[in-house]
Amino acid sequence: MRVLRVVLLLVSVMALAYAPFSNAVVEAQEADLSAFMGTYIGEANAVDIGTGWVEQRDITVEIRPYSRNGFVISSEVIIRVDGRRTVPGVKRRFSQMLFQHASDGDYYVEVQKADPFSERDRTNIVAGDPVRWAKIEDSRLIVYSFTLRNDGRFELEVYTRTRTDRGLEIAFERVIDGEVTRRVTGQTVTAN
Amino acid sequence: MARALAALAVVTVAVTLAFGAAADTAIDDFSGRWQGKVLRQAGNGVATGLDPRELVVHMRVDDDGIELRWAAISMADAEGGQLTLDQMQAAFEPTDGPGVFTARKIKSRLLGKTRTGNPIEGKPFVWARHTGSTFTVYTLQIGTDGGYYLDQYSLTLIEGGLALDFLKLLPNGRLVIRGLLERTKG
Repeated sequence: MRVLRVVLLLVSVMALAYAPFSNAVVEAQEADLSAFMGTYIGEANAVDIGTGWVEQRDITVEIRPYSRNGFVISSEVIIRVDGRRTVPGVKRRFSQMLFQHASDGDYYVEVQKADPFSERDRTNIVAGDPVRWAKIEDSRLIVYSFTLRNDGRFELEVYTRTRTDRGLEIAFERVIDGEVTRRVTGQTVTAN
Repeated sequence: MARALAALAVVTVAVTLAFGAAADTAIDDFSGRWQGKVLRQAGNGVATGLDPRELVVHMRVDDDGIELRWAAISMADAEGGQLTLDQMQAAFEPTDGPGVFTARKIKSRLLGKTRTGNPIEGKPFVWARHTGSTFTVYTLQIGTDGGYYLDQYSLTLIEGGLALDFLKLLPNGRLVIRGLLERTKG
């Protein structure tokens, strides 16, 4: 009985000693992330570097907490036709990515949504599966997406979302084998 | 110093242009021992300092794939006048992609001896591409702060030698190193 009491006391002391530290670490990471949570609506211009072709886009970005210490980022893009969105040829692109904090560093790695009905495959980079990760740098949330193309050239996409007083500033760059091929810049405001 | 580097870089580019890249080559044409000098230059054209390195490249091509060994000796990085030696060794196997290879293991001064894999699992991803007369080796790593390190070494067969273009992509810039190598052993 006495042994049990000593063990319980030891466990409580260890829990007390450890708890404030672990909570502080998690809270610091969540505080970084919490600044980006929200729904943002805005506009952006995409420039094809090779041709100089410019496209106007309407964008909606939603960032929400996901699981423990992760986030989900959803993005809807409406690509206008000659500046208009009520004419045939208008395009809609939707994407959603889930991230969780990396176990071995101060960044986030993409995870697949838990689905009990599908087998979880390992990422096969050579087969063209993207490798995605994200990091927070001051007021910027940066998402990287790396893909190996079938011909061996690489594609690196970098999405930078900078927190401003009004919403998020948007910047995107696509690099193919070391050359920038596309740039997107835009502004969004927080939607109520 | 900067002017000397710029002049040498111009010479390197001029030599490459004058001879031009060889026509489409077989991967076997890269086999052998190659030796020469490389020079460091920043991507925006501003010289970072003259850093002549003696570079030796060994390539062995057989049915199983390609074995690449690489050694660079530099005075400029040296502390207290000591020479530094930079080495890399990797064996590449063909993939389903045309002219695309991957390496399962890599050995280098910076990485040590390590298995390759998914960069978000803390392993470097190493692959190579052969197209036309150029063989390019790539390495991608993700640092513990989430930053990336992407290196691209291109070897192009030209008349009388091998032209080297090394491109280091960093989140906030790029570094270019150029050089010329001659075949010293078939």
